[in-house]
Amino acid sequence: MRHPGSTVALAGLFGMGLLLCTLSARPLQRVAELKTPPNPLGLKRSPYGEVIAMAMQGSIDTNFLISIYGTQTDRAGKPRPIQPPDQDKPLTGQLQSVLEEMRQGYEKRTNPVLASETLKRFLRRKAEDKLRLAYNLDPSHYANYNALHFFLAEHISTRPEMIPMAGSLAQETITYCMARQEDPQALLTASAAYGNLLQLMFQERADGTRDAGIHDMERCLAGLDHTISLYLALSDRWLETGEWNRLSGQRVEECQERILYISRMREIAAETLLRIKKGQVMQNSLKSGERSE
Amino acid sequence: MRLLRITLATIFQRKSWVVCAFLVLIFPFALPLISSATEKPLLVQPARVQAAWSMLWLCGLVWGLFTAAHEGEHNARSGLGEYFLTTGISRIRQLGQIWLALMAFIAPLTLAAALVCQFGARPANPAEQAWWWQLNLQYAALYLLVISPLLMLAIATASRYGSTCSFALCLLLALYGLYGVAYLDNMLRVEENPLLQAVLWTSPQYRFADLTQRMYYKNGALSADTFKLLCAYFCGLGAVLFSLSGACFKSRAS
Repeated sequence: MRHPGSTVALAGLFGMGLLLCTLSARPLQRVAELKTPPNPLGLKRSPYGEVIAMAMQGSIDTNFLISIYGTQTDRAGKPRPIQPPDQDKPLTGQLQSVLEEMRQGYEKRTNPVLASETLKRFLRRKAEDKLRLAYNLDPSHYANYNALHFFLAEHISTRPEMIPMAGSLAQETITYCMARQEDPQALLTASAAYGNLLQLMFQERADGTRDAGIHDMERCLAGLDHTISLYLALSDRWLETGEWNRLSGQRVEECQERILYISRMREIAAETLLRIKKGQVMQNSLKSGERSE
Repeated sequence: MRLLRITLATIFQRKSWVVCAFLVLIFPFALPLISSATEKPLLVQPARVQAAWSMLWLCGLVWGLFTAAHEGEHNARSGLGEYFLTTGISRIRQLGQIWLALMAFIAPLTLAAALVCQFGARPANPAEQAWWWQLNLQYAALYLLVISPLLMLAIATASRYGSTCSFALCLLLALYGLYGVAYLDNMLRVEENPLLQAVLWTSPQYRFADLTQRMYYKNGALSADTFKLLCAYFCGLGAVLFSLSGACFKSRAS
């Protein structure tokens, strides 16, 4: 038999708790510093997120060929190459080839009917959503950022309203990466973002949609130069201290390839900017010649 | 087959299988109504496919493994196993009968999911209908090849270590084989590591039995060679798990 006093106490506690929750819930929703984007387990932009972002690359490109060509071979009819087994290790090579054969068979598209436009669009959207998630997990990841930018800039995106965001995506990436100047990979991503911004400006100028102005383009180029010089300085420092050994051979090779590509891109961007400046100067002198007449 | 009949009756009477039947038969038609398929009719059938097979995996891995662990523990701890030992039903036969009782529920659920996909989500194009039933059958076969050894492992480990431990272990193994291995494989493609590579080769590759994406994206049925290879692999893996289960199973608590 329950004591009436305890029932009253429990009911009172319940009522008080309910009142407290109800009164504090609404003001809590208005507190600005509590507003953060959803981030389960805090994975996005965390070291764990960076590892998961690396692992997601494989799952993103699985259906990409189908989303573009409707089948798994490209226009030249070339299928994806099969990884040959390691000849030096017969047992593990055998295991590897069995697993690889299963994986190839599992992923192979045997439907004789080519993917319809709707299906291709659907696959592109799936790939884009995964890319966006991979980017959010690690905005400083070179491949994921550039792949997402490619989707937006080449108008492959299935969300046309997001296409103008290629520029702000690049800005966000630069801000994120420049807060991580102790990581050469982040500096490379920042350089790539500057390069993409320049490319966007040149493209818009050529299309006639928007003229960013020489000043903005020069600032971008200066930003690109700055990130390249930061990378080179960090790279030299790491060579001396041996910190490059912390990364695997594959990562180091990637960094080397990427800096070569970015340097070449920088030269081309500088030449393009020079041409635009000359064109501008000529235009101005023509205009001033007309006015004096 | 008295233990088989008793176990069948026990599971039937507990009625939790009704929830599984509901999930597999009703949800594939109800879930698309709360998805973006309501705005895009073309997505209704892929949504149905995804719902049907996801519900089946959920039922098998949650209800199936839990019930298997429960029955395995009950057989050992309640003295039922000891009684059947005295009547001449050996340890292995007891394990087999409990397993068959569970398969009597899982197999019809699998068939139900395949039928829902076959008749409720078939592509309209006749050229694609030709391989749709093949893919359904292949998926059902691979699913059964994956779930049956896991159920037996759950029964056996529960008889020795308790149902909670067994359920957690088998569920983690299944989830790792389905999802963890795929992520590990992707990571190893980006960054090599001999130790993790060895882990990958010795891990159960349950991900190859999950053909939901194939159905969803209409990639066609698996080629005959691939299907045979997968069957051989899962039969081998099943044999390993069956033998481990046979060694682990206890009919009595002491």
